[in-house]
Amino acid sequence: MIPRGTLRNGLNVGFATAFIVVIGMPAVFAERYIIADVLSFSATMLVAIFLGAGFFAVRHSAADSGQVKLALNGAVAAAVTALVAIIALVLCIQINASAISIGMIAVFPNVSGALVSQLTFGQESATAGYLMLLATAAIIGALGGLAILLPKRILNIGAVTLLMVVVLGLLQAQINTIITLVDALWVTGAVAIGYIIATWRARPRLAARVGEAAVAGALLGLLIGILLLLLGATSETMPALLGKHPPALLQSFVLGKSTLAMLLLLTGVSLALSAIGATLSATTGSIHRLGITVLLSLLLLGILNVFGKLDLPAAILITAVMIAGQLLLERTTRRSEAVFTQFRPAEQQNSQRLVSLAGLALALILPMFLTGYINNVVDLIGLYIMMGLGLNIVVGFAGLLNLGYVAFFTIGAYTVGVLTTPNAITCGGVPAAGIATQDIATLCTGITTFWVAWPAAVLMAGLTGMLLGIPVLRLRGDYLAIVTLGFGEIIRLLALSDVFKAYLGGAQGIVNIPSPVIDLTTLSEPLVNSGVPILAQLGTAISQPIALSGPGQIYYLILFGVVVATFVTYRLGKSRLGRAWRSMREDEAVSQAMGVNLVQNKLLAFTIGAAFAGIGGGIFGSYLKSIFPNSFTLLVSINVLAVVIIGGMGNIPGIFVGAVVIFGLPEALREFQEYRLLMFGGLLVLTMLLRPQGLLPPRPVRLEEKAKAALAKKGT
Amino acid sequence: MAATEDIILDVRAVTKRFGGLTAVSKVDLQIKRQTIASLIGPNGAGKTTFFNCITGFYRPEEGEIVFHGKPITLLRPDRIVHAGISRTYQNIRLFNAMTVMENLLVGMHPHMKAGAVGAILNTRRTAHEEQEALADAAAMLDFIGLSGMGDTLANNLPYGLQRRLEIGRALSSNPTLLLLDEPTAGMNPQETEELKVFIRHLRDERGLTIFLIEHDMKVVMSISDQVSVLDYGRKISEGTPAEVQADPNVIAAYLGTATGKEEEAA
Repeated sequence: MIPRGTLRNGLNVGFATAFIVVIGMPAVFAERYIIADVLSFSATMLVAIFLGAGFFAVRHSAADSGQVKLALNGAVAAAVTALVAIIALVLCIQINASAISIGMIAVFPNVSGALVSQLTFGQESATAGYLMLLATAAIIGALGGLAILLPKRILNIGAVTLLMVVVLGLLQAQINTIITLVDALWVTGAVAIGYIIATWRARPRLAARVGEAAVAGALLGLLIGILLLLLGATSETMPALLGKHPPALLQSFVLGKSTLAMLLLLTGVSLALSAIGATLSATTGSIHRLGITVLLSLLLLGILNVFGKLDLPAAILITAVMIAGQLLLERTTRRSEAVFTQFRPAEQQNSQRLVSLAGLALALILPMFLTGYINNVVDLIGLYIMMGLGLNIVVGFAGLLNLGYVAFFTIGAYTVGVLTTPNAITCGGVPAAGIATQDIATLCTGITTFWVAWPAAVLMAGLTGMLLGIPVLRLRGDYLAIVTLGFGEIIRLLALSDVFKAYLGGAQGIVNIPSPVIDLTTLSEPLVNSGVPILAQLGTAISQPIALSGPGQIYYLILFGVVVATFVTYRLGKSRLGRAWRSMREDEAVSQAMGVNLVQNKLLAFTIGAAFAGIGGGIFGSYLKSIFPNSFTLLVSINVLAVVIIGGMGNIPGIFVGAVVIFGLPEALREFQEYRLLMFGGLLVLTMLLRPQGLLPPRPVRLEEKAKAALAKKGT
Repeated sequence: MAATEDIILDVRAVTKRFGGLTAVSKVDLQIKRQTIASLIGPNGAGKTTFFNCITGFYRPEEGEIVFHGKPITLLRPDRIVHAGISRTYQNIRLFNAMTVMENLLVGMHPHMKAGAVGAILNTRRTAHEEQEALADAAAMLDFIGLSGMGDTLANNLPYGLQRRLEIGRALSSNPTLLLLDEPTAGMNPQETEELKVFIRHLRDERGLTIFLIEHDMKVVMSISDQVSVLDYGRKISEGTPAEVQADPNVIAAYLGTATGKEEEAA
């Protein structure tokens, strides 16, 4: 009656769950609420495990299995899971008790009374509690088993909604101040007006669509401005609107601005937002989905801001908005794509440019909305995106498994560190330790600014990448992995060694690396004297050198690096070179037989991939201000590889998603830090089991239509 | 004997050894321009090894290979494609995770020039070259009858179409000599018939020279202008299909003689 697969599934998940329980995760996460005072994170985790156990136990059952059978299988799998966990827990308690009874300390220090009461619903009798846990698991597992009967799209919508609620719940304390509801409503409203106008008028040409929408957007902006004036907005006062927090975005257009300036700003920004909406109404499926998702997230953040925390009403509202949003998305994406395909090639290109511009604008203003800590996390994500893109060229495109990628990051960071601080290289051979502080300026003439050191770092990293490439040209797969792994360690040990202490600082590393400084003071005076008010203002702003020291400022350097890396990857990926790389990955011998020069193309992949790490490393050095050999361990290489594998090998958006999932979530949650490696491993195993291609695998590029057009053009 | 300028491929006493085993032993072979030449022989006779010597995968220990009057004996495989020799494989070897169009475009690699800088900046020359390549790929797609399947992953094509794509990829490099390693393997009679028509078309309309390894004797005898027979790495016979069919050496190699050669061949 119960297939063996069900039991095996239950046992597998059970062992994982037992492990999670014994290390005390449920007790640690009990403090963290997803939905305030209703649902803790540990409860959510257990529900997810039991649901998953039930669902995956019946995943491969015949489509015509009866509901009873599905429910039963799911229930058994989840109950087995719970049983294994309970047995493990009881065993550990026994072991602890006997250890303590003979005067030793507890063997499993995380197995505590709090943990047990957490799992037994606070029941007096543990046995009754365990039985309750078993019954609950069985019920949830049965639901998981039945869930397979739902159509796939409903399942998808449900899963995404639940995931969103969990993420919002986990991060609620950090993200509830990002945007106010009024601001969010205004932004999404302006975009939506543009979208609706463009869809309603259904003009076939891009210019007409965007133009009409922009007019509507401008009118909306003007209307909001007048409304604000009627409500009593002046350059000093902002009328009270919905919610506890004043709408920062709208407020910045009102306070300290003349009425005319305010109206112009509101009209202009609304116009731009509506133009974006019109562009979104006719674009590719993935961009459409991304754009709508961003808007939806803004709205959700706004809702969270009004409620302050995710309590039950907020959770219900957010769930409703999420479901509605996804239903809408489902209906509109295909239409948007259909209009896009009717565009002329030049229009398609222009549309894509508009989207990129909007994305860039969003990226530029992002730090203003984020607090210091989140900004830090965003910076870290950016660095890993850069490295992920670089490693993606080596591993994802060319198929050369490189486990020593951290070496190039190290070289980038150290190049910037060495060139911008006093040491034996920059001080004419005299070790920095022997120089008095006042002599540094006269002796250390080799010290350069960040702006010289940064390109040098990229160059150095690229060059080393090429040099490493030469000896390993003939190696592939595991052999290459071992050699590169060794190389990564060699670079770290060289930095650590006493031989180069005078240059690289040995174990003490390099400290006091100056922040990058934008020094435009020479331009300041002519601008101030130019007489044009805006230019004069700009002149005053740059009369002092600007140091990029905080996470919100370094962000712009990182953004620049990410944009460059993305652009280069994109262009190379679809070029002759990208095709040659991918053909090498598929079959090296055949690739060579098709005329691909293996030596040249492999070296290029190594060089470009390493250069990306150099860009990131250079920023990293001047961002942290001090670098030590031990910041550059094998773990960094593995992290980057995980970003590429989990995100989706060979796919640019995949790398972004991978970096956010692997570094965004754990960084933002202090409780997770301790379990970071565990989660990493779990995530990797899950990815390999469920989505071996990664979260966002590359989709085949569509070339045939383009090629037919090229052929037709050539023929005429 | 034809005039020397008519000889497109001239193999002179080529020997390839693997340790103590001599896989190809002092083979001489000449192929005339715009003909169809076949290489036959029992399993393990050294046919594919011989192909690998011509395409640069193996370096022969002795002998010389001259193509279009120039020696290519020690060139790397990618240089040999540039010289104008292209091939297919016995067991189809496509770039499986790439689309049909991309497979064809990789085939065009030799006569494209764009490098990393050109690709990143998308210079006018690179963009123009890419458009040309796309147009050529579209034409090739049509030529091999895969129109409408250009964006399919090569792996997802049915077997017969994979064979065609492999030939299309080989043709994309604009070769003058096309080497086909058992092109009809796994094909049904109708597909085989179509392929014969296609190969003749390549010779007559496109002016290609074709050199093929084939086990299907009906195919070999009906389309070849010249047949060479290898056995134990040695060329044991050569001539028109009729001549080869009548050669007692060939019959012995295939059917065995009273001396028990059969067991050895197996």
